[in-house]
Amino acid sequence: MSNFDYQQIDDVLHSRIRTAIMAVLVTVEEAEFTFLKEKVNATDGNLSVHLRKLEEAGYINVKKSFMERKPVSRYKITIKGHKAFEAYIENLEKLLNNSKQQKNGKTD
Amino acid sequence: MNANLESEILFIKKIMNESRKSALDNGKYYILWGVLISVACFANYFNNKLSLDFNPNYFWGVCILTGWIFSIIWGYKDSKKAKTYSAGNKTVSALWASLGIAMLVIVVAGKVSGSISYASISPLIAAVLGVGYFTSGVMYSDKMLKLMAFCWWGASIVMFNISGVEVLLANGIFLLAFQVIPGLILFSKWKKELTVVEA
Repeated sequence: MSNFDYQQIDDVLHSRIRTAIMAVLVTVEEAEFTFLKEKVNATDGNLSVHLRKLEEAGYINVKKSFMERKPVSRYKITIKGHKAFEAYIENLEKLLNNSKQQKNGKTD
Repeated sequence: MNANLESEILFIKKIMNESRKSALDNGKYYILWGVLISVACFANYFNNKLSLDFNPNYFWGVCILTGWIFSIIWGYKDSKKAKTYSAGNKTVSALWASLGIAMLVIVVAGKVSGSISYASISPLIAAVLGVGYFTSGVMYSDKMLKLMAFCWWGASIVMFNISGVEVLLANGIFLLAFQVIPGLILFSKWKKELTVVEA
């Protein structure tokens, strides 16, 4: 019997685009909106919505400024975001291992 | 279910690798400094060999000043254009800037005070370059840069055993082989990466 609690899976991160955003932000210290857009392959509107969700959860923060009169938004992962992302990956791996063990148990 | 979870984990790893790659070194500083210093080495060597009457300090002064001017301008422009700000990139930039100052101190103070012999400057600089290459190689997880560090440390040992002006000829050749060529390889990798992102 699996001892994995599905409630441990973070709802905020359990979305492909939000996971992708977090995966980009854990590798760089700060990233601009345009860089995230290139990396996660999303439209401006869609990306903004998901960024706001992550911001509301306290996983990222945004710094808005002007560069040569153009608005620039820079996103940074927070400590809470780092911990949540690590826990999310850990839980996915745990779930995968449990599932593999169950499968092996059935075949034995 | 397993396939879904595995693809999810693979997807995350792929995204992380791609963003790491986009922070790759573009190699242009290696090319700039490699070309300038090798030109100064060859000019100094031939000036000496052909008994020309130029003051070699002019070659060195012009080349080093040009290198610093370009590095500062490019550094400023790159920081303005940068879409990401990673701690790794900042560390590598700070490392090379500090090593550049250390090399300048060895060249200028060593020569002016006379405490470092003329022939020892190139091998000392080569040993310092090895530190820069090794650390950059570790930061960017780049095997070629790590290999270049050992090449520079080897070159340093070789140059400590060369006496006279031939050390400049050797240094010029080492710069082309262990600095300009790796710089060109990094530049072409970076260009390729950029094309993939733009496509």
